[in-house]
Amino acid sequence: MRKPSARTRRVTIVDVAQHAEVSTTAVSKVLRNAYGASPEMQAKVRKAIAELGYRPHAAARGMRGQTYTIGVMLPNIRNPFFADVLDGATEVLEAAGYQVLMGPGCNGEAEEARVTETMIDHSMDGVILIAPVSSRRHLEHVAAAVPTVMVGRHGRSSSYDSVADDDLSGAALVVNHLADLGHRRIAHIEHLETDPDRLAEMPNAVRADGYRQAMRARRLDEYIDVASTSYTQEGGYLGTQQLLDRLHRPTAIFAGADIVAMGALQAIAEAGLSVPDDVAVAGYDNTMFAGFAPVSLTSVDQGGRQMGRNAARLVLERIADPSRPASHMKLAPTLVPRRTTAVLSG
Amino acid sequence: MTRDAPARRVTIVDVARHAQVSTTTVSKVLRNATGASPAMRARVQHAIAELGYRPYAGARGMRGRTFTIGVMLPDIRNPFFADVLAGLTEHLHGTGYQVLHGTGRNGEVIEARVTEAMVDRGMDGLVLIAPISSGAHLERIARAVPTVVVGRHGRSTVYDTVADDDHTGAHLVVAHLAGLGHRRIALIDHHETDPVRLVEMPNAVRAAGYRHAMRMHGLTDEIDVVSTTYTHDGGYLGAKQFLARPALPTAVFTGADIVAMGVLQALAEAGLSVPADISVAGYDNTAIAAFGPVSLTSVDQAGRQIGADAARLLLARIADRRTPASHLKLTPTLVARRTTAPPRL
Repeated sequence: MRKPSARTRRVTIVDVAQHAEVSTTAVSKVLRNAYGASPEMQAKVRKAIAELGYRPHAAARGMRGQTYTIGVMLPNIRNPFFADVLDGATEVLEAAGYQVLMGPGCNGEAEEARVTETMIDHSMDGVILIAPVSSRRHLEHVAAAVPTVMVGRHGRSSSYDSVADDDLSGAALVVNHLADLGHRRIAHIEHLETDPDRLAEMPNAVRADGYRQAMRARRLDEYIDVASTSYTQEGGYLGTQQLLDRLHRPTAIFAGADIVAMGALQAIAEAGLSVPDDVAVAGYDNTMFAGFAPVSLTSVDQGGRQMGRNAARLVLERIADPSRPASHMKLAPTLVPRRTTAVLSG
Repeated sequence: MTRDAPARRVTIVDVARHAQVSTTTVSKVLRNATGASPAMRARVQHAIAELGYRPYAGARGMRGRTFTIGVMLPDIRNPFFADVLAGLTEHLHGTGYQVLHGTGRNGEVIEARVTEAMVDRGMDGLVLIAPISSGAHLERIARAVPTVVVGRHGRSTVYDTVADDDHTGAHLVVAHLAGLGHRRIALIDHHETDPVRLVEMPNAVRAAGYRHAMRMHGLTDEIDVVSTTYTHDGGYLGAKQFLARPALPTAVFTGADIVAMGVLQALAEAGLSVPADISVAGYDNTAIAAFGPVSLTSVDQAGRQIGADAARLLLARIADRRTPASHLKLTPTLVARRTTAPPRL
């Protein structure tokens, strides 16, 4: 029977093997993602790892120098969408015996460089970069040092994998939904972008493009109206103030992210207007805020959790075989209509 | 200066040149050593921030430091932790330290994994936000690496703490609601059974403060506690328990804003309006409380200040591990908004 002091002893690979009733070689194979471990064996070992809370010791140099840590860089922790991505990634990585450590990129190239250098310095086995703003050159530099998967930003690189949302389709879903409700003056709040690479790759830029394309497809060219701020609550607040000051106020606002829509709702309320009667509002990301009853925001679900799971799988595969060809995955989003959008009144 | 420079790593030589000081001075500032004047220190820190310099972890000359600080937080969905983290990061700006964080998820096994990973990775110091691990485990970590514990009340001699005066905070809420005429004031608590955590965890101190305040206001018979968790789901499930009763309390005090969000969700689904049918108060004064359509009465425990204080204490402890342990307690304030009003008669 287990003595109380046993709880403080570190769980070893021997404990995992005993618990799973397999050999330590089999456990090691599963940990290294090596061939020769059947799916049943993998499931058994992963279950034992989870139950015992086993974490391979970073200093166990026998394990090909692996540290069993994965670095996840996210722009900030205030946007609940990133929490969804993180949940999905953590679920897969912890089941495989990896520990996740995060670093804030703060939407800045200098900060991102510091975070990625720190992760490389700490010999992390892989990194997942969520919506990084760094130059392509820097991303290639990171990928040359450590297995890398990018989330959110569209990539074409041959040295790292990416998981992105089909942002072009997502923007069209929103514009079509609003146009079907009778809206013509549909404005958009975007995250300001000037760098040519980022204009082609960043989700915000692709959404803004998708908005313009969809407006033209609905023959609403003359109503295209974009406020350029940032993907933050403050960005939504300031962008909406700009839009409400226009000679012809928009009847609907498509905010590029739920957190932006939060700022929009705040500005609309402060202007004494009501949603959706005076102004309809739609967001993007379908975060917990959107589902929160007092908000009840129409949004686009890009499957954050699924994106996180896919990114984790790709990084594990790249750790197992760093020379594998790069995969670029694009997921199809869906619209979730709620109470902030309605048929145009009057 | 060539435009190609960014790909090359910024070194201590660049920092010294940019700040127009010697590399020895930069090194002194980085080591928090004496002999660098405040003005010199400010100049170097400014240069570090401008150039995005980070000392190389492998630079063994720097006494084996990695210039990385590990922060463990329970989860990243509670916006209060984002405030603490922002305060920490702001304070570390220009010091050359980089923050990496991991989630402990209110589980002892997971917390042990996160902290072990941070110790294994050679982090120079740890900040543990509201950890639930045993005192023995916390002391073991603190003996391995300089550590500051945030939120949890402690008396340890090996780690520092920064906490909110949760007892006073709970009193503020009860006094506010009782002052509006409420008597049936209920609490949604984060379930706690461990005897040490019942004394040290912020949630438990808030619950004790609530009970104490209710007695002080002559409302002993009205004490009503539902125990769930400090999450959105915890608030939702707690409110469902109230809704299943023949009579609702007239006011609900939730131990955290994120819990209040779950309560508002359940009340909205039940077709009840706030504050006309029931008043709701939170704790933490996060961005969601200030958000117009929510406008939640809450207690401000100054998360940013807590984070900045934790960073300051940690840097002092990294500079001198024998610094006597400090236990800081900050006084909270009440921020009354639209979710609390006099009860309907």
